[in-house]
Formats: sequence, C-alpha cells, structure tokens
Amino acid sequence: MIEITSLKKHFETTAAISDLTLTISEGEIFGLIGTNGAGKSTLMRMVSGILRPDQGQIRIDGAGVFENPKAKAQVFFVPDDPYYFPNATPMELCSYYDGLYRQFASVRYQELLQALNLPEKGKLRDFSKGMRKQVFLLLGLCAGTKYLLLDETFDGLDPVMRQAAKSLLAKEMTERDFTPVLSSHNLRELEDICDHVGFLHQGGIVLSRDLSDMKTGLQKLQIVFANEESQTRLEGQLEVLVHSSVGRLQTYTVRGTREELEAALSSCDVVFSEILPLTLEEIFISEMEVVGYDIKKILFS
Amino acid sequence: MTSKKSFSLNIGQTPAGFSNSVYAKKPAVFVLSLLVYILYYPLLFLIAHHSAMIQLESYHQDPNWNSNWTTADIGGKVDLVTGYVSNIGGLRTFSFLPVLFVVFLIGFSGFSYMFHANTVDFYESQPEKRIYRFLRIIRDGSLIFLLASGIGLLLGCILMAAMGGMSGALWLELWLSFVQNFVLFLALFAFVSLACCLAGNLIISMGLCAFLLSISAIVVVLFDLACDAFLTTYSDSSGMEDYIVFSPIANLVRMYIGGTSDHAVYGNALVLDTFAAGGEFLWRNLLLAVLAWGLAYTAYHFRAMEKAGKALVYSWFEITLKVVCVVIGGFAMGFLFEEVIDGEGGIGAYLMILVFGLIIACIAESVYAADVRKMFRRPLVTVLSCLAAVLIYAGMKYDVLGYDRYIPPVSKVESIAIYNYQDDPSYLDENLDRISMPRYYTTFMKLPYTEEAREMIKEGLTLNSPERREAPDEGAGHLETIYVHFRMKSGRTQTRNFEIDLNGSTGQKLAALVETKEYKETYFGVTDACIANVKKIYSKYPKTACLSLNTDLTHTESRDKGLVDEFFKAYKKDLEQYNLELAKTELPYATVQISNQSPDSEADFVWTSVSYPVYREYTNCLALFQKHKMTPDLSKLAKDTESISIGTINIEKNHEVRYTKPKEIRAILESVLCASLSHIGTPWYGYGMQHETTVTTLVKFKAGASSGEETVETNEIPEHMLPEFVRKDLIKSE
Repeated sequence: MIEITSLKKHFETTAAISDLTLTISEGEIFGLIGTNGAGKSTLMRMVSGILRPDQGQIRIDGAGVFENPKAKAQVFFVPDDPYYFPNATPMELCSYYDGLYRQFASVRYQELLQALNLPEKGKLRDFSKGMRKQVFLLLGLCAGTKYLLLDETFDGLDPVMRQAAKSLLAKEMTERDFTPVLSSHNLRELEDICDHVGFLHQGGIVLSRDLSDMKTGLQKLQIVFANEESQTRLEGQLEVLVHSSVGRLQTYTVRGTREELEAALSSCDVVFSEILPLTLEEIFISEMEVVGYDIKKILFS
Repeated sequence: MTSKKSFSLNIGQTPAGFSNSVYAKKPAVFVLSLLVYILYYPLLFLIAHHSAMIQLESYHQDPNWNSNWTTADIGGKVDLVTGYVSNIGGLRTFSFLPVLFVVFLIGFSGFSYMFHANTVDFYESQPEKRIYRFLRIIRDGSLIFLLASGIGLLLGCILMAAMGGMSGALWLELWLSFVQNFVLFLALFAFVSLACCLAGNLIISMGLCAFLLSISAIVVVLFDLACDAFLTTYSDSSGMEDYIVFSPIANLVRMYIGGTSDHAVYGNALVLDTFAAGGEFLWRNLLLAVLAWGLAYTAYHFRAMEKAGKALVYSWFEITLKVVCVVIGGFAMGFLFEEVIDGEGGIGAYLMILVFGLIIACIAESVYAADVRKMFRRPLVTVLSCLAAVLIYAGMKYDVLGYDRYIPPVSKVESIAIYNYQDDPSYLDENLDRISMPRYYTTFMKLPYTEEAREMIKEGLTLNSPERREAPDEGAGHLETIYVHFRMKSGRTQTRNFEIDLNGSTGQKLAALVETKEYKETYFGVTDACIANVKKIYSKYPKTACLSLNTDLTHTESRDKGLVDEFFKAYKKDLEQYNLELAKTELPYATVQISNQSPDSEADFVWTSVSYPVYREYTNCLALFQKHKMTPDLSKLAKDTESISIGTINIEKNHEVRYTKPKEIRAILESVLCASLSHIGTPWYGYGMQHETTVTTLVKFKAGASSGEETVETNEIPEHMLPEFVRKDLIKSE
C-alpha cells in the first residue's frame, strides 16, 4: 500500500503539491487524473523517490521511499518522456535493468517484445514514440516490482496496443501482487481500465474513490418542471454540482444514488425527467467546477 | 529470468557493477579518452624516437660537435631516446595536458545526468542511495581514466621498448609521472563534481568549474597587488607560496615553477628525487580532492533534483556567488582604474566599484534566471555587496586595520630574517633544486629578534613616509629598503619592508645584525645543512663535480673532493672578517663556485652550482688556494694582456688612460682583479658604492693568448681599487 500523508512540494514560489493525502491500495489499478500542471508527474516522481517532499510522508508498504533503496526496489517509474541511452536497443535496456532489479524477467521481456512485434535489436531512437512507450511499459512489467507508475504512458498508444497494454496489466495483476498507478489527463484512457481514481487539482486531491462508487454517486438529471415552486423545492433537496438550462430544459449534475434521486423526483411536479449515467469525463468536469476550476481550460485529447 | 551478473561489485545495498554505472552504455567517454592518450603517448613517443634518431645521426656525422662530448659520452641511442621520451611523458612535462581534456570529459559525463529531467528520472528512480551513486561515479570515472591513460602509456612503452629506446629509469619516470597525473585527475575531477552538484545545467557547471578553479588564485593575486599598492610596509616577497590556494591548477603551476627537474637520462635516483620534490603537489591535491568531494557530496545529497536545467540549484549559493563576484569584480575594477587610469586616488575608483558591482550583479541575476528582465532581483544583496566592495577597498587603501603601523613586539616573535631584493643568490635544497631568494631567507635565516632590531624597524617606519621615499636624499642620508620576515611564536609569518638609512643610526643597528654569526652563515649559505646539501653534488655527479675559483679574467678548478671540506672550514673562519663596511666598499677578489660541471663547458643537462664570494681579507681561503695552486697566475695573465684601458664615466667628458707596458699591466691587474657583481649578490656593496666614483677597466688580450683569444674584458670597479699611479694619470688626463 502506498500511503501519502500531508504531502507538500513547492517549486520556488509555486505550490506543486499542497497538503495532499492519498492512499493507493494494493491490487487495484489506480488512475490519477488531473489537469495539466495539477501535479500528477510531481506526485509520481515523489512516490518513486526521485524528488524529496518539502513536507509530509510517502510510505510504501510502511517504509519511507526517499533515499530508501529497499522501498524503491518495489517501484518502477515510467515517465512521460523516458530516458534511454544513445544507441540503446530494447535488449540493452533489458540487460541494464536486469542488473538493477533482482526479479527482472528477461525471458518474459523478450517474449513480450516478440509478441508486440518490437525489434529486439533496433535502436530506440529510431522507434516511434508509441513503440518506445511500449518498450518501457514492458520493462516496467518485467522489472518485477510491486508498484508500476505509468505517467501518461497510455497517451500515444494506438487503440489496439492500448487494449493489449490493458490486458498485460490485468494479466500481471492476476499472476502476482501488482499495483499499477496510471496518470493521465485523458479521461477516456482511464475510464475503462481503472478501479480507483483520484482527481488531482492544484496539487491537492479533490476526490479519491472507486470508479464504480463514483459513477453511482453522481447522476445527470434532465428535467422540465411544471412550475418554479417544484424547481426550487427539488434544488433544495439535491446536492447540485453543475446546473445548466436550455429553454425550460434544466440539466443538473447531482451527487446521490439513482434511488435517492427518484425519491426526490417523486415529490415534484415535473413535465419531463430523465436520469442519465455520467461518463468519467463528466464526473471530472463536475468535480473540477465544484472546486472552481475553469472548465474551458481543460484539455481533452 | 536471468541470473545476476557474477562480476558485480556490491557497494552498499545494490548491485554496483560497471554495467549499471552512469558511464555504462556511454562508450564514447572511454573511447575518446583512450584516443587522446594514444595520440599523446604512442604517437608522440614515435615522433620523439624519430627526432632522437636524427640527432644521433648528426652526432655521427659531426664528431666535433662538442669537443668534450663524444657519442659514447652521450650514451648512444637509448639515452637519446630516453631524453626525448621523458620530455614528453616524464615528470614535470606537458603530460598533464591530456589530463585537462579527459577529466572534463569524464567528470561532466558522470554528473551531467542531473541537468535533464528525463535523465534525473531514469537514474534517481533506481533503487540506489545517493551516496553509492556518487561514489560509483567517482570510482568508475577514475577507472576509465586509469584504463585509458594506462593503456596509452603501456602501448607507448612497449612500442619504445620494441624499438630499443627504453631504459629502466625511463620506465620508472613514465609511471611515476602517471601517478602524478592521476592525482591531478582526482583533484580536478573533484572540482568538476563540485561544480556539477551546485549547478543545474552544463554550461553553468563548466563556467562554475572554471570559477572554482581560479577564484582562490584570483583573490590571492588581487589581494597581493592591492596590499603592495596600498600598504607601505607590505611585502609580496613570499608571493603566493604563503597562501593556501584552493586550486589544483595553481598547485600544478607551483610544482612546475618550483624547481628544476631531472629526467630519466640521469638514472633512477634522480627520477625518484624529482618525484619526491613534487610530493607537496601530491598531498596538496589529494587534500583538495577530499575537500572538494566532501563539499560536492553534501551538495549532491541535499540537491533538489527538480532544479535540473536551472542555472544554480541552491539559492544560498546564488547569493554567495553573486556577493563574491560583485566584491571581487568591483574591487578589481576600482583598483585597475586607480592604478592604470586615475592614479590620483580620487573618487573615480569608488564610482567604478559601484558601477561594475551593479553590472556584475545584474549579469549574475540575469544568468540565474535566464531572463534579462530579472536583472534587478535581490536589490538588497546587490547594494550591500557593492558597499562591501567599497568598504574593503577604502579599508585597504587607508590602512584602517593599522597594518603599516604595527611592529610585532619582541615577546611575540620567534625569529626573523633580513634580506633585500638586490641580492639574488641561489641555494640548494636536499634534492639539489635551487632555492632562490627570498624563499631561502624566509626558510633558513633565523636571527634573534632583539629590542635593537625592533628599534631599527621602528625607526625605519619613520623613514618610510611617502614624502621621504619621494626625496630620499634630502637630509636623510642613504635610504635603502630591507625586508624583514617575522616568524611569530603563534606559527604565523609575515614579511614587511622598511627603510634603512645606511649612514644613520638604523644603518648602525643593521651593521650589528650583519656581524652576527647566524646572519653571516645563513647569508652565505655555509650552515651545516647548506654545506651538506652542496656536498651532495659530489655524490650525485661524481664524474663532473668540481670546485672552481673565478675572477672576471681567470678561472681555475679542481675536482679534488677533499678540497670542499677544507674550503668550507677556511671560509667559515674567514667570515669573521666580513662586516657591513667591507661589503659596502669592496668587491670580492674572486668567487668560488661548486658545481656539477665546469662553467666553461656546455652542459647539456641541469647545471647545479653555488657561489661564494672571497674577499682579499679572507686569508685562510687564499692560503688554501695557494696551497692547491689555484690562485690566478698573474704573470701569465700579464703576459697575455696587450693593453688595459682605464676610463672614468662622466656625462660631460670621458677620460681614458691606456697602459701597454707589462710592468704597469701586472701592477694594475694585481689591484683590479676581482669578481664583478654579476657573479654573486652583494647588496650592501651596491648601497655603499652608490656615491663613489667608479671606473671602467678594459683588458685586451693578445692574439693567440690562452687567457682569452683577442677578446676584450670590461668591468666597472670603484676608483679606490686602482693603483696610485693610475689615479694620478687619470687626474692628469682630465
């Protein structure tokens, strides 16, 4: 388990991470979602022991990670733009990491390279960005670490490869004690793979919840009220996160289960109503707007 | 799953074989280093061999190349090649040059990973403690150097051996030089490490490295120049040697200028001596390496890795560097302005300090932020730094600390040395390297510091006013500058200069000091330690060591080793006759020179020699030379002389009298035969003679004379040395 408590990190005058507390449980795929500059990469770099926190603690299976090789040996970090040696080939990287991680599975790595049609002895500099990401994903999988931190790794992978990567992660989780942590600002990338997501905004976690709970806990409601009194009464009963209207059609994003919502609607005089499931993207937008984030600035790919 | 590498060397908790080094997968570092050393050693050795062969050929073709040397003497091919090769790869040669290139290549390659976020992520996420990574970079970088330079040198040696040009001493010298270069590499590597750990990008780290390597020397030189300019009694006689200069380059320069070198052509013992003479360089640089690496690791350990790409990674260091640059740069510009342009001591210098201090501060901030719009950041630091520079400058200029006014009390001083700069004799240390003035005096002359000596200095201070210095002769007698080296009981030393009036009471007090046995024996280099060193010439150069007696016109020599002991015994006894009055008024009759080669021969190797003036009053010495038939043969000299012309030097009119009669010539030679000042240092003489009339003597030898074939010898001597009849003739000729 990765436990992050009251974490703070400043880059000169800018607060990259501010008072962040988060727990990443074992055996689940954790998705770290945030806007550009929210602090996802900084958080991952601190979790992997690269950066020293200004304040707070990061504990991996109970041990601090910074300057602790034993804890770091449990974490493999694949950054957004991973470094490789000039002229390096996938097999040379394999031999390098083989010397670093005692559990490194060289044979499996070789098999996976072949399975994904990645040239074993090709120069990484000649690979496409997506191919390089695949190589590092495989290195991360085969390093044998308990935690694999993938920073924007799924960005740039083609749909087929993304699906293959997801399968590989799933397979690894079934075979051993393995917890991948994925970060992305592309919500669609994570929606169908993560068990748990954490929304990061301005260096803090806005919410961290199981994806299934989150989807059931937020609803989109489209409704045409018969009169204003009904609208006022309903809005008083609901925890409205986002509200918009087109003519008489009111659209709400509200917190609560479907059952709770249906109970509230039953007491109101409405012309038309419909409860719709939210996509992860809509959940994200809603939560961000609640904390005052300018939705127009969110970059979706 | 594969097994772990069997050759991994565990450092700490993680496998630490070279395969996981920062240098791993960077073959260019090793290949380039090796290439440099292959170019330096085997290739230059081949060229040296070729040059030696050309020279050997020239010996064979020209057997009269040197009447004293034959090809056999030279030693043939091996010695020739040894000479050439040791000049390339031996001790105190340019073999440090490739180190300068390779160390920066290796050093920056090792630590440059900290300058980019993606390399930081790559290395810092690995399960390894920073201390182990730091040590591995040093270990692996050093191994690369050792391998590259070792392979290069070994190839060169094998090549020369195969071509028949290697001697045992050359093997020894080349590998001792290898050790010296490795120590230099370590020290420079440590400085590169420190610069990298403090900087955030490659360009800044290179600039910072140059700064760190040079700043201590810059400060010392600037301080020395400013003290020399502003403080009347400050003496820079000890130069930079008294300062601890935190730079391997400065240490290197110091080693190279610190003494002569004996190369492999003279055998193993001399090679070892030369290496031992550079011992100080080795330990100084090793200490510097340890210190710099200690600081570098501290900076590395606490480094915020997110600062990759920034100029500097610590804000406190940004401030420190800015303050140092503003103070040093501003001070230097103010000093330069006053010394070169102004010279009046006006406010121009202060304005220059403020203007340049401000410019330097702005440049520093712009560089730190990589943004010229940030040039006025930290205005308080800028203002305070500029003010500090102004205050330090004014403080030194007006001697706020009272340096010039302070004379150490007798109770605080262990001993003193007194000397002056008109004297420039050389002495020999235990390695037979020359110790030049003033190092000799500051090291070996230990005179008691008495109340009389302090009184002399105190009185000298009153003569030291700028007005007196500008008009020294206006009622002040005869002012001369002497240097006093104080050895304090606390262990500190300082050298000061004071004025002495040779004709006044300070001169009398100086005369008393000069007459002490300690002064004479140290001044003339005849203490037991000095004599022991000089006698090593006989053990080191048994075939060529000799003692010679020289005047301006004659030279006699003896290779009798026993004569040296007799000479020193007689000389020490004769020194009782020496006093300031004698030194001021007389020229020595001759000089005794003890050397490893006759001065008349062209020595092709290091010439080691020491000289001792012998006055006409030194009866014991003269008797000794008489006994050994070394006294100049005046009859033969007179016979060989065609004429002697004596002339007075007068701006308005020159007078000259010429003598050709053998009787007159002999009489003149008896009086004027002497050793001129160019042979030895006799400063007090120079002072004494300043107001005395001097004459020139011009001796022309007959054609075919053995004393000096048709040559003309000229000399300048005091008039009182002339025979009575010559002085009368000169008066008549006016």
